[in-house]
Amino acid sequence: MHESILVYRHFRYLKWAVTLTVVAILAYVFHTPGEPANGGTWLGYTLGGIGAGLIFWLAWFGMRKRDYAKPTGKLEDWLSAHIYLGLSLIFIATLHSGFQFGWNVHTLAYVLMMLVIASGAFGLYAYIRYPRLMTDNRRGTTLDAMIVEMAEADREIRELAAKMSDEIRDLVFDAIDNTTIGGGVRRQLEPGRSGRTVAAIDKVRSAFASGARDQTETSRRLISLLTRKNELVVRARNDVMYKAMMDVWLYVHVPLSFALLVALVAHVIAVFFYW
Amino acid sequence: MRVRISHLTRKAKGVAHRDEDREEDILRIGRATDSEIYLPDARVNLVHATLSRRPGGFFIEAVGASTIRHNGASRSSAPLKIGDNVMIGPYDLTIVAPAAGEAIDVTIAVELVRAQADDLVALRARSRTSIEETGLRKRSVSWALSIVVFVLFIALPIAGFFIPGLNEWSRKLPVAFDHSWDSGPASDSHKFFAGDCSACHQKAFVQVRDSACLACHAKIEEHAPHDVKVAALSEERCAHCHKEHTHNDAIIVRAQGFCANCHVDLKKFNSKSTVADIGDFFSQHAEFRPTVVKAVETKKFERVSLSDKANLIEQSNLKFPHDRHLSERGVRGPNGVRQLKCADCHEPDRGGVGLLPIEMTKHCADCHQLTFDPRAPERKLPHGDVASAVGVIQDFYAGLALRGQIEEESAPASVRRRVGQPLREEEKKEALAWAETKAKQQMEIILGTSLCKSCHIVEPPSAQNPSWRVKPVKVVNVWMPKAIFVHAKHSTVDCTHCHDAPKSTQSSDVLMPSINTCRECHGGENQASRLPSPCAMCHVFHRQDLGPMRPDFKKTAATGN
Repeated sequence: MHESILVYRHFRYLKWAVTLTVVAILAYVFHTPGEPANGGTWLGYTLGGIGAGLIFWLAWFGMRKRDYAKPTGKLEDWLSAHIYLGLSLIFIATLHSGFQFGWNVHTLAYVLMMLVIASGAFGLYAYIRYPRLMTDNRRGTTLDAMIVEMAEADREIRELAAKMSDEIRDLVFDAIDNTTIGGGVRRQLEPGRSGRTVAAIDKVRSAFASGARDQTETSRRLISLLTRKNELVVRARNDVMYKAMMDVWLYVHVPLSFALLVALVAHVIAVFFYW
Repeated sequence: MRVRISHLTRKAKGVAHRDEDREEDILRIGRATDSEIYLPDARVNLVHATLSRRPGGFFIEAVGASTIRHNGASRSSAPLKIGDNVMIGPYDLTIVAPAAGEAIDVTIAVELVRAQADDLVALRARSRTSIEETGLRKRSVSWALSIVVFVLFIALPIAGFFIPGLNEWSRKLPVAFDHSWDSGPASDSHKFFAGDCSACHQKAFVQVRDSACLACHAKIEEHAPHDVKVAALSEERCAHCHKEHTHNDAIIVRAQGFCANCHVDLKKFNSKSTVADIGDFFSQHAEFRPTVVKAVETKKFERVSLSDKANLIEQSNLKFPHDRHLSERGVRGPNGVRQLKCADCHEPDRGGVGLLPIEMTKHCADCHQLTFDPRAPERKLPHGDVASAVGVIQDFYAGLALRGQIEEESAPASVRRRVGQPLREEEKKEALAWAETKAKQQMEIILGTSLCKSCHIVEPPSAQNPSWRVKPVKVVNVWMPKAIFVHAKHSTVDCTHCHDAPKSTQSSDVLMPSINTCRECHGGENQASRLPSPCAMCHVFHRQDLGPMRPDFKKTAATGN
């Protein structure tokens, strides 16, 4: 994924979306229904029809994405159109509402739609921004390789720490036993931080400064290993964050899309049931 | 003391042991290489514990903050006996009885029982590196949200509509089932029943029917006369024009275009129409055509355009010069000179819409007193009843003649006699004749010259009509009955700004202001520099002077169409 999905086919779908939006705005501006603008005027029904059609079509992208056997059109076309036409919905649906909002199923559908669009927009941002950062951060390796390397460092660190004082050993072991990569959703979304490992480094460093002569070599090697480990921890955590940023929005986008589809059906039923 | 330290190593084929004997007073146990009992695991402290012999036996004692477990319990020190187990870090130390015949006090079997866990496995176990591993699920959350939305916003409202009583019951809840469907607040006038959706939305997927509206508005009036019925008006659903749930004001259509669409060229809809074409109050509205009285007796009224000066004459049969009443010098009355104001006579009605009719006795009689003879200054003629007035005059002079003592030189002696002196038959006739002549003379003055004639058109008795007649008076109270004008809303403007009364010399003047006077402030709907005034500001759609719009309502209500 890279920026070319936006400039895909010389912005063909951006042009479509802008045309649709501009036409809708002009129609709204020049439309004088003789009543407050709302979804029930002829323009309101028209914009509502277009909006509902767009929403179902955009949702179909989820199906098309998995359709490997008999693909219809190129996936890049679908994605580019999905992005631009999805964004144009902000205007279509808002104009359809006539800026009338309330605590009802109609505004619920609108809010869900806006959240779906916002999460999608974040996804787009994530897919433009994070892959490059991720590549730079990985430096040709993988997250699993980093974790294996960390564990190897841990083994050596334990051996060296055994030669140090109990206090330093406790600190170092605590750092090893409590270092985690990733974690819950919130932890995964946080940028890589160093914690206990750095505290251990500081401790070993001060011991090194005032330490017994016979331990200087051990201390030096321990500091070097811990520093290496810490760098791996920060990079691994960043890697998790980039990945999480690129994944997490879908956990909002997809469930809210389904909720939106049902709310949209409810909205249409409500309007025509109590016509 | 002599101690044998036996290091055990479990192998596939049994247990191997490496023994070393020590003779010390105190044995240090730890990972320090100079420990007597050397436990080379990083989890053991450098000097973890000490073993010593005291008078009571062997003792083990933790050093510093180290922890040991003696027979499973955490201790800082403990006496040891044969068979005891001490856990130090990953090691188990067991006190074994020395073999018979050897010069050893005690044997301690040392075994590493908990090897260091694999850091890689542990790190992987601790780390969750993808959102998927956190337990978030797309599919189940999608299902859950969709089902919640479906139940709350589709299933419950529909069930409430079809299951009798369910929606009514749900209105006791904080939010009734179908209130989530409400697309906007009902207009203020409909709020009192708006909680019950089915009051208007009676049938699923059918637009609100007129029968729902006519249940209350049965008498709603027609817009155009029945002979020029326009299909677009009389056959359209009420809700076509009256929009609910959008905006409080939308229930009544006020947009200029709603009227102007047709009225800008009404001949298109009705070739016989005499209604002037109107498109905009400021730029496309004819001069006002007030209704004026043309003949009181025949009740002839006419709408005359204010621009038709020659015809703009009201025949009210009243003489009333506004200029003289509003003169800056004031008017002379029984209590001296008085400066009159418009409001002294023109009082607003209760609602402030129009003005109350002028009443002679209330507004004129203070000055225009109907006294007729200085000998009886309290006696007044009745107003509005000529026959009675004539009778009062006749009776008055007959009474005078009967009483006598009239100090008029021309009067006969019978009339000038002293009070109480009886009359003879001839004298009675003479006195009556005087009274009749006197009454006639007075009527000529009162009716024919001064009192009545100053305001009225009076016809003296003639051959055809032997009695006095005062022509009936009719003044138009509302010049423009098809428009609504609220005087109270214009109270900031002087009366004379619109009504040029101080300069009006004749009661035939029509003091209605021109449309241009209104246009000083009022503009068309889209005028930026004036008060935007759509048609509906002054005119109503459903006209009270026409019959009901849906006379066959009972029928439509029954068939539901």
